Amino acid sequence: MNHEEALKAAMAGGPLPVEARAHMSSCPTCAAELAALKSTEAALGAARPAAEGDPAWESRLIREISFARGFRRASRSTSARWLRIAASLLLAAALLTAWRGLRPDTNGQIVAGAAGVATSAQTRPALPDQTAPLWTDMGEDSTASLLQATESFTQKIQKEQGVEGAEGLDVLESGGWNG
Amino acid sequence: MQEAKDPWVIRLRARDADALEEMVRAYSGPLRRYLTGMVRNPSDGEELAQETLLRFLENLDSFRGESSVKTFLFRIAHNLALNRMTSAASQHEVFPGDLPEETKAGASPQRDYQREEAASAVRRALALLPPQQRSVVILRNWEDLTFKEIARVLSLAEGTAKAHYFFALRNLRRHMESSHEP
Repeated sequence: MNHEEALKAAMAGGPLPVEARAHMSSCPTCAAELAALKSTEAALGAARPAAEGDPAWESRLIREISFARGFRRASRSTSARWLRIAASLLLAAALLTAWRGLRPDTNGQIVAGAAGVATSAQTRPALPDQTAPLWTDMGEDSTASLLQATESFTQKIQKEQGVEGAEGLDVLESGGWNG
Repeated sequence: MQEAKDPWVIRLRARDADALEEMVRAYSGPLRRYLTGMVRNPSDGEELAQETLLRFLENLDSFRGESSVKTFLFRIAHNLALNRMTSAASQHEVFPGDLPEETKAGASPQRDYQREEAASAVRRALALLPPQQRSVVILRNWEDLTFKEIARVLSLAEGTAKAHYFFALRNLRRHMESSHEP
């Protein structure tokens, strides 16, 4: 192994090959050159500029690239999606409740709400006793209040999400959150 | 065709803004440092770092994950730097040697001054290296890339990257020594 090969091997990182080590221990010129190269390498490392940059510049980069390449916040869209699912479930529950309030009793008569329940209590003997309190609670009034509760729940979630009405949802879905 | 399985790349392809922010926070600083070291001009370094990220996103669909995101980014950055240096040379531009300094808290003003003087001497010497050698020493010393990664960035054999590094350090030392001579 000649001088240059030994020095290249020594500067290539990793464990020093046996031949190169043998050369270095028997050649003072190469040993001195290696020390000088290591010192240059250290000086270079000390002159390393900061990588952590300017947060304002990074934020500007994120904004400009998001805009240029059509990026949007996944977390916001996910929130909007869950909001819609929750609202749909509540609406379905309200409709189911309303349907149960109007379903025919065992004699084929329509039981319509609390008033119907009050006037036709004697026409529902076939129902098990434990269903009676539930049945009597499922009138028009309770359906209306469930719908109202659904609406207020939806509004509450929208308020928490910082979304104003249906228009806000459209903004979320159309990718308006680029910043 | 091999598909990139990196979850980060998948999220970037889905235009997930959180993934973009993570990428910018992770790589914009190192890219700017590398590019500024190459073109010797901080504002050009910033501009080229932005261009690198945009080009990366533009070519995301063709990224197959054969190399890492870091290597891919530095490869784009290197090509942009070479183009800029070629066009700057053709316009006879001379760039100042200013680079942002890494701050170290707790040092005395005198030590700061000495350290800054030494760093400036190294950077002046660095600017005198041929682009390929400059690139190798910056990627190795400032960006902590392995020789294998450097070889990928510069489209070289690994042995050639090691040889460039050796000659770069030798030239750097000579330039630094000659700058100390009266």
